[in-house]
Amino acid sequence: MRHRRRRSWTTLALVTVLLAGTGLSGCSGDEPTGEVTILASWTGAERAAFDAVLRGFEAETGIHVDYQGHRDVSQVLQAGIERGRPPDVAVLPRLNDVQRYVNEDQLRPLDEIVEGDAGAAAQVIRLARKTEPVGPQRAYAVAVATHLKSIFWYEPSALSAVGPRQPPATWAELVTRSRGVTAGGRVPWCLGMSSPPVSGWPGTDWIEDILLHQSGQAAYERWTRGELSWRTGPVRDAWVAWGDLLGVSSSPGTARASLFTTWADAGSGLLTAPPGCYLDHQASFVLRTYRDAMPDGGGPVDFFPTPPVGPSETSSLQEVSDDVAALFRDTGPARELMAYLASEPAQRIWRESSDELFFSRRAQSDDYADPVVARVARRLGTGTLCRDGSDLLPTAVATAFERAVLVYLQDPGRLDALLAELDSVRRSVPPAEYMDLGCEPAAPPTN
Amino acid sequence: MTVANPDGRPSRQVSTTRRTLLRLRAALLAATAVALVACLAVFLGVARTADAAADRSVPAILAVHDAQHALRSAHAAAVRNLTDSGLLLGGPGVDYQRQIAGAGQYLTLVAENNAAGDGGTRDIQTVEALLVTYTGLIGRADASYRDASLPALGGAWLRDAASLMDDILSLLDDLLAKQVSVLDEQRDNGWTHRLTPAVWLLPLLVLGALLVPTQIYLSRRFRRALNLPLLLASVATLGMVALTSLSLRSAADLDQVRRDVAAVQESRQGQLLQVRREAADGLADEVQKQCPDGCGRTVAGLRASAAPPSPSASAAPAPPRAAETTLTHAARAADSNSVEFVLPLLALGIGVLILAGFQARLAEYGYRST
Repeated sequence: MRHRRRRSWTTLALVTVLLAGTGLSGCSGDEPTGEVTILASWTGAERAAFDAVLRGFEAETGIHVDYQGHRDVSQVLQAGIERGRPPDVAVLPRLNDVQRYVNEDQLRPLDEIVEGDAGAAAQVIRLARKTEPVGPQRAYAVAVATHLKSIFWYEPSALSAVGPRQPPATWAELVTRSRGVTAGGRVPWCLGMSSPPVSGWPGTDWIEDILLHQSGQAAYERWTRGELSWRTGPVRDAWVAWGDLLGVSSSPGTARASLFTTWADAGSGLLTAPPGCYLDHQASFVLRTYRDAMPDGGGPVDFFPTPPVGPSETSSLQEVSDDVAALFRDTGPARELMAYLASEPAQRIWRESSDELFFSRRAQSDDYADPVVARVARRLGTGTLCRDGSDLLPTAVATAFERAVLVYLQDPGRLDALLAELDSVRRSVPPAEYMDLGCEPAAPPTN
Repeated sequence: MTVANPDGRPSRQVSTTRRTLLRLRAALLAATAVALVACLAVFLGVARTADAAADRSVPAILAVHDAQHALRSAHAAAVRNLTDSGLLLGGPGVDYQRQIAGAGQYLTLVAENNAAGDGGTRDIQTVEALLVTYTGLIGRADASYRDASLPALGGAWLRDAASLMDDILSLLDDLLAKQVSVLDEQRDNGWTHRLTPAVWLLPLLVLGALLVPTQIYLSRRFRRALNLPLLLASVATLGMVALTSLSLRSAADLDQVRRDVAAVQESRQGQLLQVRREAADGLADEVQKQCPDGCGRTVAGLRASAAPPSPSASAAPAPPRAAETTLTHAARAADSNSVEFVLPLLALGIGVLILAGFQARLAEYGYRST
C-alpha cells in the first residue's frame, strides 16, 4: 500500500515537470517577447505616423520597440557601430550606407525573413559583399517607404495667372515658362538647398532627374556605378541644363537665397499670397509641407512629371528614393520587426497614420481620398523606377556632389573646376564602394 | 531546592522571580537585536541612496549643464570669429576650440557618472556623434569664408551648424531631464520617505519601554536604587536614537540638493539664453549681409530665436558658487560619519550591559522558589 502511494507521488511529480517544461517551451518558442531598438531619421509628424506602425507591431507581438529618431541618422549609426552598440534595426535614407555595412559585415541577411512574403519582393534589396571575401547576393535591406522625385509641383491658379493654363509638357515649355515668370519680375522657382546637416541634396535631386530624362537609363546607371565622367558628356550637360533653367548666372540673388532657405520653407512659397514662387521640384514627401501650409487640410497643389529633357523618350523613367530598413543585430524581436515593417498590415497602418502621405514599392490599392495623392501612387506603380543617384553613390562622392551644388549656386563660373574635382573624388573611391543596383520596373497597383 | 515528583523521581523547581528575570532578559536582548537590524537597514538604505546621488546623479547633472554652456559658448565664438575675422588669418578662433574641447571633457564626465542607464548612454552617444557633424560644418564654414568668392556659402554652413547645435542642446535637455528624474527618485524613494523613521524608531522605543519598567521592577524587587548596567544600556539606547536620526539629516540634505539643482538649472538657463541670443543675433546680421534679398524669412526666424529671454529667466540671479554648494550638500548627505560601524558596537554594548545587569540578580535568585 505504502509502496503504491510512493509510486503515485512519483508519477504526479513527473507529470508536473513535463507540464512545466511544455509551458516553458511554448513561451520561448512561439511568442517572442522582449525589446527591439530601431534608429531612423523621422521626427515630428513623420515620427508620429511611424509610431502608429510600431504600436501595431507591439500590439501584435508583445515586443516593446524603443525608437530613436534623428535627422543625422548616418552619423549616429556610425558612432553606435564604432562603439559596439548598434541599434537592432536601422532605417537608412542612403542606400549606399547599406552597401558599406554589407562590405564591413555589419549587416545580417534577411532572406529567411522575407522569403515567405511574395508581396514584399519589390521592396527587397539584394546585394553582395564587394570586399574580400566577396559574398553571394543576398537580401540585406527592405524598402519600407518610397518617394517619387521626378515631379514638379505648382498651384494651378497661380501658375495659370502668369502664363498658359496648362502646365509645361516639354522641357522647352518649362524653360520658357520659367523665363516668362522671371521677366515679369517674379520668382519662378521655390528653391531651398538648406537641410542641415546634409544641405545641398535638393540640388543633387535636380541634376539626377535632369540626367535621367536627358541621357536615359543606361547613362544614369553608368553614372551611379562610377563609370561616367563628370567633366564631359551627360553629367556636365545635366548641370548646364539645370543652371540654364534656373538662370543662376542671370539671377544670382535667387540662387544665393536658396543657400539659406530650407526646402520646406521654399516649397511653402507656392501657397502664400501673393505667391513667393510658382514651381517646386521636390519629392512627394513635400505634400506634408503643403498641407501644413494650408491648415484646412490641403491646398490645391498639383504636379506634372519631369518631361524628357532631350530628344530621347524618357517619360516612363522616374527617379525615386527609398527609406530602407536593415538588420544590425540578429535577435528574435529584431527579425520579427523586420518582417513586420515589410508586411502589408504595417504599410496599411502607415498609410492611415500619415493621412495617406505614405507610398511604397509594394503594390497597393489606389483608392485615395485626395486625387493628387492617388496620382502620385499611380505613378509609383507604372514605368521604370530609378533609385536616387546620390543615394547610390559612395558617401565621399555624394558629399562632394552636395557641396558642389552649393558652390555652383553661389559661383556658377566654377562649374568646370567643380566637375574636375568631382571626377577626381570619383576616381579615388574604390570600386567596391559603388553599387550595382539599376532601375527596375514598378509594381502595378492593386484594386 | 530539590523536591520529589509524585512518581518519586527528583525534580528542580525554578523560582518565579528567576523565571521573570530570564524572560525580561530575553525580551530585552531580542528587542536590542531587532532595533539593531532596523536601525542599520534604514541607515544604510539612506546612506546608499545619498551616496548614489552624490557620486553619480549630481555630478552628471552639473556636467550636462557645463557641457551645454560650453557648446553654446563655442558656437557663439565661432559665429563671432568667422563673421568678423579676416580672410587669411580668420577661423572659428581659439575660444571656440577651447570650449569644444571642454564640452568633450564634460560629456566624458557625464558618461562616467551617468545615472540614467541605457537611455542616458544612448543620448550621450548621439550627442557625441552630432558633435562630430557640427565641428565638420564649422570647418566647412571656415573653408568657405577663406574663399573670397564664397562668403555666402560660409554663412549658410554657419546657419546649418546653428540648427544642428539646437538639436544637440535639445538632446542634452532630454539627457538632463533623465538625470534629474533619477535624482528625484533617489530623493523620494522608500528610504527617505517621511514615515520610514518609524521603522527604526519603534523598535528603539520598545527597547526603551522595556528597559525603564525593568529598572523599576528590579529596584522594587531587590530594594536597590539603580541597576547601573541597565541605566547605561538606556543611555546607549538613546545614543542609537541619536545616531540613527542622522539618516533624517541625510534625507533633508537630499531635499536641499534637489533645491540646489533647481537653482543651478534656473541660473544656467538664463546664461544659456544670453549666449544663444548673442550667437543668433550675430548670425542674423550675417545672413542679412550675405543675402539682402529673398532671405527675409530666414532672418526673421533667427531674430525670433534671438528674442530677449523671458523676464523670469533673465532675472534669475546666478548664485555664487552654486555648483560647489550643490556638491557640498550632496557630499554631506552621503557622509555616514561611520555610524554604520558605531551602531553594531552600541547594540553589542547594550546586550553586554543587559547581561551584566541581570547577572547578579539571577545568581542571587538562583533556584529560590519565591
